[in-house]
Amino acid sequence: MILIVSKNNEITTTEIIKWLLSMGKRFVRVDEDELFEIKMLNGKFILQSERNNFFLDDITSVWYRRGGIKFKRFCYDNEAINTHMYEAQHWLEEYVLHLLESKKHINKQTKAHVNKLLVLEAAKKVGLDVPNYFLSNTTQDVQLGKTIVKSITGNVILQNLTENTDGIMYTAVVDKKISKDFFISFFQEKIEKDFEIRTFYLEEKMWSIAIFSQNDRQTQLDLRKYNTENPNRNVRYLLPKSVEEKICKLMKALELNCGSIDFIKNGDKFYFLEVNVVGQFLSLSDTCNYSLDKVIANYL
Amino acid sequence: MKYFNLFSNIKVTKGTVRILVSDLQRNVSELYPLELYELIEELKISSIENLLDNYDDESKVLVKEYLDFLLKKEYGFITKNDWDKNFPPLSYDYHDYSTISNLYIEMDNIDVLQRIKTSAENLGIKHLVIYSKQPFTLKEFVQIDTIFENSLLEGMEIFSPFHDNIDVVFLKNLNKKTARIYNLVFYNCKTNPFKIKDAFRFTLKFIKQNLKISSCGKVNVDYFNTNLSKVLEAINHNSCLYKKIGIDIEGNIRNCPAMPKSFGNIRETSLEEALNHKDFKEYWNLTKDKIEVCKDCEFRYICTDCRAYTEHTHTNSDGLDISKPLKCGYNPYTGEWEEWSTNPLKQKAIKYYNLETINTRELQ
Amino acid sequence: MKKKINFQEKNKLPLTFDYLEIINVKKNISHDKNVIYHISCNICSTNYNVRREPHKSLVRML
Repeated sequence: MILIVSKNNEITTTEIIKWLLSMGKRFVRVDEDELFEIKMLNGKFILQSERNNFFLDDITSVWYRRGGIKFKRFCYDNEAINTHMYEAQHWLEEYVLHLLESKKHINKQTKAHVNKLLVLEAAKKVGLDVPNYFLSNTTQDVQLGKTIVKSITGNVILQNLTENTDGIMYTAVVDKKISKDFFISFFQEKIEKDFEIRTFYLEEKMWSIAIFSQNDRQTQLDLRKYNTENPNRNVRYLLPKSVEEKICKLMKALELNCGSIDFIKNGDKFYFLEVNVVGQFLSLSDTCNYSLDKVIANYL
Repeated sequence: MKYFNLFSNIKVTKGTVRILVSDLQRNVSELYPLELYELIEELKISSIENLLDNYDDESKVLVKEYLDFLLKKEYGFITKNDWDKNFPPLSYDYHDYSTISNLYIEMDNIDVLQRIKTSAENLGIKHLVIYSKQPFTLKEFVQIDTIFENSLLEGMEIFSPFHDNIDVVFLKNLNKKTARIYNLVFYNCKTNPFKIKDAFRFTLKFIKQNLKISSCGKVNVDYFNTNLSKVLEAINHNSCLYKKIGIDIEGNIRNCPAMPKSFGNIRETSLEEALNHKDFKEYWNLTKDKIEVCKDCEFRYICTDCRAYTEHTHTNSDGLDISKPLKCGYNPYTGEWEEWSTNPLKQKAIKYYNLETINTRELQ
Repeated sequence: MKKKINFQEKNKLPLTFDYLEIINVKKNISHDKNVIYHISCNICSTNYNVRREPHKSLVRML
């Protein structure tokens, strides 16, 4: 049985489940708000929530798509006992997660989020070309028009910033110097694009897509400013073997076996930008007929 | 030297007198002269400069215009020194997780839906089209909508007769209480439809004619669809009957309610059992490339075929009807559209299907 | 020149906030052709299955 850890509203998860159903593969879908109790029956671990219950031994593969498995923590009246039991429960939970992570899996709960700064260092280490970057609290070293400023968070959407608005933090070119200093920010050299590449990676296999975002002013700097009326051209692409080998090395170093990797192509160089562990890939997979939903369902 | 690279999601379908260029990403198809096909083929084997050298000055201007046009539409891009060999071709495989993707049912009682509910769930049916001879009450519409809660059904469209209780209030209630319906057609609506300002979750049509199952099978520009999934299906399989199942008014299970062969009745036979009949899938892989006349037509991958009503002129060695659809008025050998129902060459087939009376009523 | 929003935070923010784009969350969505309708799908354990029209016209009656 396949354990899928996701959120109720995650569409990609639902699409893969449709393939699992057609393949006759059994699964359990765990939601972000489910709380599990760790129990035992006849010496075997069983996880139980309001919606689901399953034996750990029955699980053959795990897909950490979003969120993670949350456990119900019991509280005790006596403070000393409570502190003791808090620790005991913590170790037991960690052990259960470890048991799950030793099964066949797509990503791990403990590795679901990556530090972008550490990833860039790892990328340089495996020999990928990385655009020059630096951290600073002033615009002193910024070259106007040639330096971009980018968020180091995974999520760039600020929901409900005000009552009627959301804020979105797209990559931006720094166009003026500021006299004051600010919270340490991430700056990077702006690379001219032939086009961008997004590569979906699963267990050493890769599927790449070229995204022609550079001709559309709206998407030129950040392709996430999707032009829904005239979408960027997305077509199949094949990265050179040397780049694919480095991607494998990088993903292994980050202990990830699945994710999307973004590049900018400029002439003969492929500039690494970032790894996205929970990124959306289905719409790109559909335009290029890669059937990644079927690929994932097959793998699980 | 400059080279032109055609994007892999641009499909050029060659017809007899012109070509169709389909943008399978932006879902648009357009017609062009045959000479554009020749040019695109030449651009795959020569550099732009070498290609231009082969033309006289007048033609050079035309070629340059075509090139500008191809670039402006983003059908391709230019590289220097050579084509970019890192762009693999698109795979034309068609993948579908459903065993049956759509069900077309002609009914006069909604109990039949309860009977096939479990089969619909097991077969992974994604879409349901209901043609009802009886009008539906609001309660019945809601009932139909909830029957498929446990299934993979993604949407349904319903054709039912208009009745006097259908007013704005009825429609607003329908809008609130149903989820899966994306299209509603009320036929036999003799009165003038009232003005509706609201936007609903579904598209809405009021039709004067008394529609019948035999009204189906039309082939015209309104029913062309350009999108990757549909085109891939049409390249590999029959664009209408592949993974389709039909139930007629008597409960007979057919490829579609208007097809001649029955594979059992739902009173005794399940949809799964009918599907296992040795002939059920006989038409599933009959592509347009194997159908007379259609195989020479530039529209063959964006139209939807009809095997229920054909010109009845050709049969292949397996006994399958490979004639052109009866209700298609396009002639790919001249590039012109004609009214099919008055075409003298089609009258024999029209008689064969008993469509004469339906015709005149529809033309009124 | 983008309008600079004063967030009135007492601690410093990164420079990215000077380039933040503000999107108005639409209230009336019924006329937006990009609207996605969700339906429940018990077999997939979700309330967010996407309602979809078929990729071709399943019947051609009109």
